[in-house]
Amino acid sequence: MLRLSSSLRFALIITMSFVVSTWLATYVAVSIQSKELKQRLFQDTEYLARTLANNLSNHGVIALKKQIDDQMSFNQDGSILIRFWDKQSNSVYGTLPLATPFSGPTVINIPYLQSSTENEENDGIYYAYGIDMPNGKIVVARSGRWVTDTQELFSQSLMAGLGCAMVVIAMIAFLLTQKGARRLANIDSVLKLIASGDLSARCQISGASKDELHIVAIRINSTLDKLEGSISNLQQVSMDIAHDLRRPLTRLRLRLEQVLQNNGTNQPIEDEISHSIVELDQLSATFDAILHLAQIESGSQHVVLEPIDISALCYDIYETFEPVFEDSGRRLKLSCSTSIITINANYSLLQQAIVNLLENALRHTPPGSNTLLSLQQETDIISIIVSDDGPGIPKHERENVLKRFYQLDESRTSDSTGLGLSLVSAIIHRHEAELRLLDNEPGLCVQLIFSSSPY
Amino acid sequence: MKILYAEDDSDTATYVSHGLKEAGYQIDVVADGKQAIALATMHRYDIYILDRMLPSVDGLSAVKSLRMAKDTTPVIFLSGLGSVNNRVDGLKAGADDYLVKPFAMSELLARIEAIARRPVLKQETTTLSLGGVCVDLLSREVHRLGEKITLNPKEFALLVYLMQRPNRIQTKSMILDAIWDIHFDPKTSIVETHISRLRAKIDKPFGTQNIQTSHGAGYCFKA
Repeated sequence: MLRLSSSLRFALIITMSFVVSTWLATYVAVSIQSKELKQRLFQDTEYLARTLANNLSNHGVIALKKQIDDQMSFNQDGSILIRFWDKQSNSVYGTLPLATPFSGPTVINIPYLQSSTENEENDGIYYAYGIDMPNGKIVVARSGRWVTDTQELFSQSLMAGLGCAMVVIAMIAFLLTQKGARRLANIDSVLKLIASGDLSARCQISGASKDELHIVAIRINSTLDKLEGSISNLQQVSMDIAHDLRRPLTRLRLRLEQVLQNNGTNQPIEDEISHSIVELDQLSATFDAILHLAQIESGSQHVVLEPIDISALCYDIYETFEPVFEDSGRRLKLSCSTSIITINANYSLLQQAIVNLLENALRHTPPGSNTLLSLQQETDIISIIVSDDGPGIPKHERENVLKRFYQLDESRTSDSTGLGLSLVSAIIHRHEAELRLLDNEPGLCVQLIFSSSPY
Repeated sequence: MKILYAEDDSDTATYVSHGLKEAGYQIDVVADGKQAIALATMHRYDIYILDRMLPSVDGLSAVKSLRMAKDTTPVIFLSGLGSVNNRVDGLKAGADDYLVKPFAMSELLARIEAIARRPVLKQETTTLSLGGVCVDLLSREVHRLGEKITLNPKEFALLVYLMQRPNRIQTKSMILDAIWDIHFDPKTSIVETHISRLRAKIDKPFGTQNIQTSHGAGYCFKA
């Protein structure tokens, strides 16, 4: 309905304005032309009147009457009428039914004329010219029918042309607007689909015309992309919560039930309760991690990127973790230049990403392993690399470990949320940097690659 | 010490106020922001503890209006919103500390302690001398019984932090925040490791126990 009505309306408006403007132009043209034609008619009558007057003064009344007869025989349709008033015999001659003569140009109205009864188109308007001679008076009148005829012909032909042009213009306008209307209808149907819950619907983007509709369609699509992203993110969060919080909740419930059953049997309950608190803390940590990850991924929170000294950050983290590695029987080394290397990043997020990688190395390498935190700069590429000589990740698993809750060893260690690498991936994605998992032969090499932006 | 506590969840309010009373505080509990502001203008309190999501006037607006009225009483926010941005918003509004729910009672108590007896950091203080440990803040040298103890920068910062708050429990998250600028909960024992390193240098060789562990709560420097 939208398509038909809007394009029809547009076609109508265009056609109507064309008709009005053309009609105005025609009106002006016709009135100018009719003025010109009337002047010509007067000139013609004056010329004829003068010819007759010459004849009268040169050859006399007889010759004049003969000339009048000749003229009349040529013009039996009443288009030219002549009357001659003879002063000597005080008689009139000719076909013009006029009582009193005059001189000069005058428009006269002859309502009824016998000679032109069959001519219904005659409107009785005559353009006349009178000459006063010493021996008589001559009035010549020409029918205005010719002017009217010409005008009619002129306007008829214009109208016919106008009609043709109108049809053509209406069609062009209709087709043009239909194209736009079809695209509007596409957008409309996409919005309807979205409203009905199909978030994958997208507007067609035609490459041909880059007009406003094109821009609107692109904008709608990108908005829908974002919307779909955040909705799926939300669904992911709900699924994650259901997936990973149920298990510890179940454990906790069973444990507390146990405590309740043992109550009164003199068994100490402190241990059970402190275990429950640990479990609860773990639960709350997982919950936080899920929300944190969702916030970073969805971009619901504005992440401020500012120039930070990445070598200072690496050194700081190294200093913090070196003793932790040592106490666990592993080694952490740092390879990093002392000069300042700046990248645009969010300090706490990047800190968390690197800490997560180091904690991963701690958790997934056997005691005695070496881990290297290094910072490399090659022209405008800056890489933060965490590499170890532990068991590494098999090639086919490297994609999977970035997924939420994915853990290589099926037995889930209680202190791991399974979200560490997902979080690193989300943080790196948010920085528009690149995360690479490589084989360190042996071990795992994780590279965070930033291309330094000019500032 | 008198505390005004605004919390709309009555169970939480009961538990927390019970815990605070046990710790020896006087406490008034209200359930919404308007009442909190009303009570705050009528009585004098030493600390306000406000939940961020409160009916009628939320915690953030309550703090803003108290601060506008030139009320400088320290404020601790309790909130379920725990991202860095949320924290920053809360602190910007005029809160002095921000604790994310769920929290341990010991954490809240430690933070109340920290705020109620916030150390007056005199600019001219260049040395700390407590329990036999002497710290020169300018030369960054530490001595005990005339013996020089070499600490790395993080250990030094940790020692100074604890010595500036003697006899007061500092929780893990407070230490992480202050020394490492880490606002998330790391899965590894960063604080434990560094405390034990520090202890190995400060206490062990001298047979002293200045740096103490309060199990499940945190650490403190006993003078």
